[in-house]
Amino acid sequence: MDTNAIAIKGLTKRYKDFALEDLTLNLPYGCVLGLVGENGAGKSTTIRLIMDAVGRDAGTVEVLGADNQGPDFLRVKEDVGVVLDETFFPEVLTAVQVGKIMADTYKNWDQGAYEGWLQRLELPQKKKLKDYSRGMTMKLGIAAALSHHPRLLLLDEATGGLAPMVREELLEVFADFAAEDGHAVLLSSHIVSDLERICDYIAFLHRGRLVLCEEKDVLLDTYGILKCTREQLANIPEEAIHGKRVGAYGVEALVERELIPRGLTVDRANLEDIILYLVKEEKQ
Amino acid sequence: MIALLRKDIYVADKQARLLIVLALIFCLIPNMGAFSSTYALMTAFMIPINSLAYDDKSKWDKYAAMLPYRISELVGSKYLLCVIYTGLAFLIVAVGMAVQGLVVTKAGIDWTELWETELVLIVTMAFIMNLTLPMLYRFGTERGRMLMILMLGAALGMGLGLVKIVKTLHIPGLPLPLIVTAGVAAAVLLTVISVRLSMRFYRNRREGKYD
Repeated sequence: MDTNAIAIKGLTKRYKDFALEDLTLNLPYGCVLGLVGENGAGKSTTIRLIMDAVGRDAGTVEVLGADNQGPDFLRVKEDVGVVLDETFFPEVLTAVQVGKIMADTYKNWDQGAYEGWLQRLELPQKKKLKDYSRGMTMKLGIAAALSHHPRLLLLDEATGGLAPMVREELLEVFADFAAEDGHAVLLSSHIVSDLERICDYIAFLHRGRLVLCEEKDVLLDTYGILKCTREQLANIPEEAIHGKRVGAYGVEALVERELIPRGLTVDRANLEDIILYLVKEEKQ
Repeated sequence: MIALLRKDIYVADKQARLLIVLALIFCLIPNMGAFSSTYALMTAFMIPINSLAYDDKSKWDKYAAMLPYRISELVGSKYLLCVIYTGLAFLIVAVGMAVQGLVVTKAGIDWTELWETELVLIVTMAFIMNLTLPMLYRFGTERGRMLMILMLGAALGMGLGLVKIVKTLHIPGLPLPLIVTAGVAAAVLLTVISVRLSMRFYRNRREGKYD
């Protein structure tokens, strides 16, 4: 078996007003990859390209070992669970009807598992989707995505609109899912704290370009927050500084720990700090 | 395909039931021949149109692109839905006219009128479906609605016109079965072209080429 559930190489897609350029990243089996970026950075486009929902202009994409434009890909789609932001079944349907449609869609559909998820996520079965809250719709999407025994989960802003307790529970579900043999999860989210909690890898997209793709622990070990005076900062090599905030009493900067002279204290940076500073650096 | 048909039938459920009851009532009222068949036809066509409108509203197509469906199934299911509801309209008109002739007016079934009405219904529906669905895939249900109304009028006119021509021609050696067979062959050819066009528009829309 390949080592990657998703292997993307040189992926490019150009629209009139936006382009995803030369994206290369891998999602190994057993891992959760967090896709992070601002609105319009290219996260949803990437997910759509992975599923060949839109054609690419260049590059290659392999999903669960198969070329996503190859003849086998329809079969591979059976093994992929997808949850998209604000995109689902027509609002006049109920959860029961969604289950019946999915049973005709997926060969591996497990009605018992679906009903179990509906109960666990406290979803009303006969209420129409138009009477569901955004969080409930997302939960139903997740229930549907998990009920056909997929090997890969693609989750586009799937935790948005959920109450903190439910989000916590679902993040655990996703982490447990990824830990199973031959499974993987790609999760795009604005909520960086969610990504920090469960992701093994972080890919950061900015204006259609991949700024970084790294193991989360490596990122957290590499970067730190330095609080110092302007004079102290002036003595630090420029390549060590990845963004700074200058205030009246000093400077706060995102730095590469290894390049900082001894004697200066570098605090641990969280993922949100790293992302925010890197976005700022990219914009400059 | 079954999943997609099931979805559309669920979406149309209440509306279809209401429209079927109304169509049946109109069919049973005396001297409403043309109106009742037009109503049944409108019923048959509005259901797939509404299903497309619901799809647009929920951005279903973006979600469907992630599921194991072929584009031919996504597009073909709408055509099949049209055919199913045309069949239903055919049945409603037949039952309505039979009940009217046997029970309401007690004049018996006018088979010539019945077959003429059914022929107009099928020919018109074939025109409407094959001309309108590609437009809806090209322009979307919002913008395509106006075009659809124009198309509906044109198709009805064409349907009535064709039947009148067939009736007035009376060409010797050109029996009705041959005309009907030629008509069916033309409808099948038109459907094949229409489906291919709809698939191309659907694919382009998915690619964002019409945004």
